Amino acid sequence: MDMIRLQTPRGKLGSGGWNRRTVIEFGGLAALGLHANGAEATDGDRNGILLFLVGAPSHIDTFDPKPAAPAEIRGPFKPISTRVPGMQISEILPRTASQSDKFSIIRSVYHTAAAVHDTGHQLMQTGRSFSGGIEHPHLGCVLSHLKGPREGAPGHVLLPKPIGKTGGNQPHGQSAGYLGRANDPFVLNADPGQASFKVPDLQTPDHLDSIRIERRRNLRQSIDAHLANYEKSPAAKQISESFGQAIKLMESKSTREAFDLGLESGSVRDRYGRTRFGQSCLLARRLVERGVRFVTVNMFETVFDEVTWDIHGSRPFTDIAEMARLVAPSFDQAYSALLEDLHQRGMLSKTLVAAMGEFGRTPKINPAGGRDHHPGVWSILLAGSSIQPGRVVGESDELGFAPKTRHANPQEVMATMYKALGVPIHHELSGPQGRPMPITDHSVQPIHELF
Amino acid sequence: MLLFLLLFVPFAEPSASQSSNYSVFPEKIALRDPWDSQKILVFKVKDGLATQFPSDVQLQVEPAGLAAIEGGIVRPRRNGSGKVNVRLGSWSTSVPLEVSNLDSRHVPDFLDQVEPVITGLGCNSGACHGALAGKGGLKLSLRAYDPLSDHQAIVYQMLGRRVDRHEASKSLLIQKALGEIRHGGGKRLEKGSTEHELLLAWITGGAPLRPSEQSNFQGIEIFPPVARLERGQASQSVVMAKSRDGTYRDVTRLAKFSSANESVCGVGPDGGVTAIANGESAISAWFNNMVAVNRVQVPYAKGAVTQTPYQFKPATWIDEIFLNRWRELNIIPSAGISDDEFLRRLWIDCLGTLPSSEILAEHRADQAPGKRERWIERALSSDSFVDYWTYKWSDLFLIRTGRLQQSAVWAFNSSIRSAVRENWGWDRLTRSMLTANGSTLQNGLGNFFGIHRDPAELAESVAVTFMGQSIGCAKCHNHPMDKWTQDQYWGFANIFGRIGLKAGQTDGELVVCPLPLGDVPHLRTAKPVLPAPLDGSVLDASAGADRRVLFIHWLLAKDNKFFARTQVNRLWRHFFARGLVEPDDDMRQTNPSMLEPILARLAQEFQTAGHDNRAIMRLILKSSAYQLSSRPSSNNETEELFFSRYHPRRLQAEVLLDAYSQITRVPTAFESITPGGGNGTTRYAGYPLGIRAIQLPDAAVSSPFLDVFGRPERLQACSCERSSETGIGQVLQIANGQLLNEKITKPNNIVDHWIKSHMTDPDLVTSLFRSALARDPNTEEMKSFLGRLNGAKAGMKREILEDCLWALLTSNEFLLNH
Repeated sequence: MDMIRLQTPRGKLGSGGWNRRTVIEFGGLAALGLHANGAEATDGDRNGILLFLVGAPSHIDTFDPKPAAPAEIRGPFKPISTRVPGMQISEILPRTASQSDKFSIIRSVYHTAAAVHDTGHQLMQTGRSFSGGIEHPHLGCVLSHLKGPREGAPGHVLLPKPIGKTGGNQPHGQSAGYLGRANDPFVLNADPGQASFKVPDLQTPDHLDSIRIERRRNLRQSIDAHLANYEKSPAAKQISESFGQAIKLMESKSTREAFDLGLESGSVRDRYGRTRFGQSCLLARRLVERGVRFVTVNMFETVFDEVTWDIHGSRPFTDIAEMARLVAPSFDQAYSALLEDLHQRGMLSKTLVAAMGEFGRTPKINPAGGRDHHPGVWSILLAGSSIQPGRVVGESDELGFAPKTRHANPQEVMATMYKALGVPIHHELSGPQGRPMPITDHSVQPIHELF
Repeated sequence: MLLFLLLFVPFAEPSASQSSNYSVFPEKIALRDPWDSQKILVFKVKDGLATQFPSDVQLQVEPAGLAAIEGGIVRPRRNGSGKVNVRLGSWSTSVPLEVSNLDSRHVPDFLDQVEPVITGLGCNSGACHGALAGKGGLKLSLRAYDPLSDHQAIVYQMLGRRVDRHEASKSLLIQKALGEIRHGGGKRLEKGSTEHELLLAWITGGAPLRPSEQSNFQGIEIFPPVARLERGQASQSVVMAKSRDGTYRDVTRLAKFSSANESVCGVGPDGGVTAIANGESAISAWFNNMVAVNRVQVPYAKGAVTQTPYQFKPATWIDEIFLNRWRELNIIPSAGISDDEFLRRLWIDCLGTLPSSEILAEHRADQAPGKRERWIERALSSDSFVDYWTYKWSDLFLIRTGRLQQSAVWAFNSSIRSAVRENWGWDRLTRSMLTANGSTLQNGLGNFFGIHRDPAELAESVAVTFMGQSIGCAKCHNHPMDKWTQDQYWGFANIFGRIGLKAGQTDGELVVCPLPLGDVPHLRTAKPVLPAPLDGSVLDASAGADRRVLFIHWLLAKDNKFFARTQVNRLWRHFFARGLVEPDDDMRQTNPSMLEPILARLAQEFQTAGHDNRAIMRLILKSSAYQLSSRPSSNNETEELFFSRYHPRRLQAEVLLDAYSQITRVPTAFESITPGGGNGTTRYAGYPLGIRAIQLPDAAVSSPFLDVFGRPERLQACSCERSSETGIGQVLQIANGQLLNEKITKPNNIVDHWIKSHMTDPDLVTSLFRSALARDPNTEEMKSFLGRLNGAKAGMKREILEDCLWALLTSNEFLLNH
């Protein structure tokens, strides 16, 4: 097997070329079937991409139009046909409609917890509410924990930033919780939509050759080695894990390249849209291509400082018309590009793509021309992996108020996603103080209509 | 609670060898209407605590027919007196029983009986009819906070179809709840249940509403107040509501339960508790807008405490309380820290500064008695103390360029600095800030109003900062998870409705003046609500009264439940990395502290000491509990709630940056400001080189390093804005980033100083360790570092020293306050 020479980005080689560790890792990579050009690992596992539509899109104005309802409910948009006979979505998402042969819609999702953003963030990303102090893990972290990260790539990456305060508490459900810091996602904390985007500080400084890097790491280890007493504390473990992961990241040419959007053609970048969300979706595809198991893309970080799906109508929020003008198009473009791209690369059959918000919005348009929070019913989109496309599962009632058929609660949605990811849904994780925590409760089953 | 103390009468068996010490609760039963019931608890008493709740208790009513018993619950059948015989194996006792009012045409009370049933069945929850818009045309108040409008809705709306006073069972209210008619909420009510009978009786009785709207209930209590279980055991709870006439009623069936610490104890809807793991949890019961809390302890391995010598020596009353709690739970606290460790911890926690080698040397040389107390005093009165705590309070009051201009930022900062330097009481600072008038450049504290110009936003900020309450949700509707209603929110906001802000004469100057008129309209009704501080009484809204002054009067009153507790909790959290209440802006009733006695007494002492922050800090720093090591003892590694060891936490961003500057002797230049809001970055020459990060007045000072390490943006009053997480991003910054690497390589920095000093290699290594870690290297470390230096070719020394320094400055030990 050819040993591919690993060069530092500027082509400088210290004496010896590269350190022993990298050589072994690289030989290992080849042995696993990971090629230097970063083709997807052929280990049969399924990957996941979660597009979290922070702010919560109005289901009636997007995926569950109600043309027969009174004007104050159906809103200003008409439904359009898609490639699937009988499936119609809102006219504001035309490109998505053209990709309907790749996704399915569940129109009967609901939850009964408080109608605030952070409960939705927790429920839809972990399947459970945060209560009694227990931090349940994000599904990406569960996947990463159970399967382990693939060589050289973080198991779970979060783009571009975590969801911040949306008016309630800091949302839980974005980390590995009781699974431990080692399974926390790698948070990018940079904006891929910027022309100058790069992962901050990923390259070692010029003046440090591999001998010096080795010396630094060994010296650092020799300090840690003798103070194991508080090393077990969560804070210390987090630092150690992060160092380990950072080193892996720095040494993995494949992952470094994944983050380099400059390697992608301009036309592809344009196809996704040169927005933060568009380029994050493109980045997600690149990361999955190079071994990352799960990527979470938060479309927004907060509902306050920018225009999001949270269309209450009154200041500082926007209304339905502005959403159609400012928010929906970037989703439409990026989502359709992602599905098409994954499909063309042959990746869609191994990658679950989920798009969802934290609740729906009130059917009756409010006096400010907007809609308010409504967890009573909403729609989510699932595509890829073993999800059968082109299906509409469940219905909401005539007014888009409550599920009418085939109710789907967050645990069932979670079980469905886990099934598509190849994770046994009733497997018990080791929770706080060793308490067994089933991934989903024993009475819960995936939504079989999607398989 | 006196009632329950009287009930702890252990039933002692004549034979002393056996300890079948059982008790029964309650000591007498009075059932006063047809829907009354009483759950009976039998439990063992050990060390004055309830433990072991046997499930095979036999209960029998005498005379038979007076009452019926099912599942341990006594229900009335006919009027009279008698008793309930309780038998468990060979032990038996009896409880007097009185039944009355069964045949009188007693109509249930809407407020105290019907509403609790409606709440207990979940009808008025946020997901159903308690939602902002109600459901299916029926809107009830969330969890019955507004019985008057609920009565209207149920009895009079919809042309009165919801209740049928002639044939109660045909009422829509009943039929829907039973599921006899299609109901979006499904079947909520069991036919023939007590709740069903009660609702029927109320409707048949005319569906009345008592003229006085006040509840007869004064409060609720959970019994037993403390239970001690072993892993896997279960206990039960009874919730008793006390009426104004002194009588009690069992409301367990309608109460809602939650466990503060579900990994330790789970609680079911009937109040049954299961002990899952070692530790302690607080169980909250909620009924009719009243809350009660009890504790369930699950001690660690029995006997562990007596196995090893118990070295902990209490130095303050805080330690005494901890000692008792650890004994109850069999937690062995960690050992105390060494002098070197104490110095580093004290300096970081108190001053946000690492002790220099010189300070370390001085501390080591000090052998006079009372050393730690003297060094605590030294820390509390140092200049760095003023810097650090000015910075911390600037975080709290959100001082940043953006909403404030530069001049205002400096003015605000300088007022805070004076207050810290002169050790103003927290009450004085709060009063001066919240009632500030005039130019905000002359009276810097007035900038608080420049930051929060919207009365609602101001109210929310005041609630978090001074009362530990997050009320934001209640702006648009009743708070879904707490007791604050939308009306209360807007009444609170209206306190701040008469603050006038005019532009001043110079740049950045505002003038604050109280206005004689003006009110904040309620978001939904567009009418103002009388100003009241949340659940306090209405403030005197007569013209001429500065509402802020009245608010301060309420906030600083001796019996105020929020002010002192919030601040001492915040101080505690700073030193212990975890508050007595977590999180510190969520001090609601249903989020109780596991260490309420400490919190209560700290708040009291804070008040007595004139709200002196330093007094509380001194008390905490002196406590043996604060001086515990982070190394776990033989059994406290997983224990996190009872402060039996110090919990290492990463250094804060500013502290870390200053430490790097201090040790390398290369200051960080702060040369620009990024106000945010898409305004880009502007150069700013106002920060002299050498200014430390903790001396900066402004969170908008540009610094990618500080941002990556979690410096808060100071946009929201929430301690969660600051992050102490360490992820790949932070590691990349210190491994590859410019900032640390430049300091290490810069000519004439500490490395050059060491080289020029011509120290021996061992001395070099010792200097490295002392300046970075405030300790000496151990044998292994010395060997490892010496090995690198010894093998050095000429001219390589600098390079190797740089790498040594890097290794120390990025080690876990350095990055942590441990």
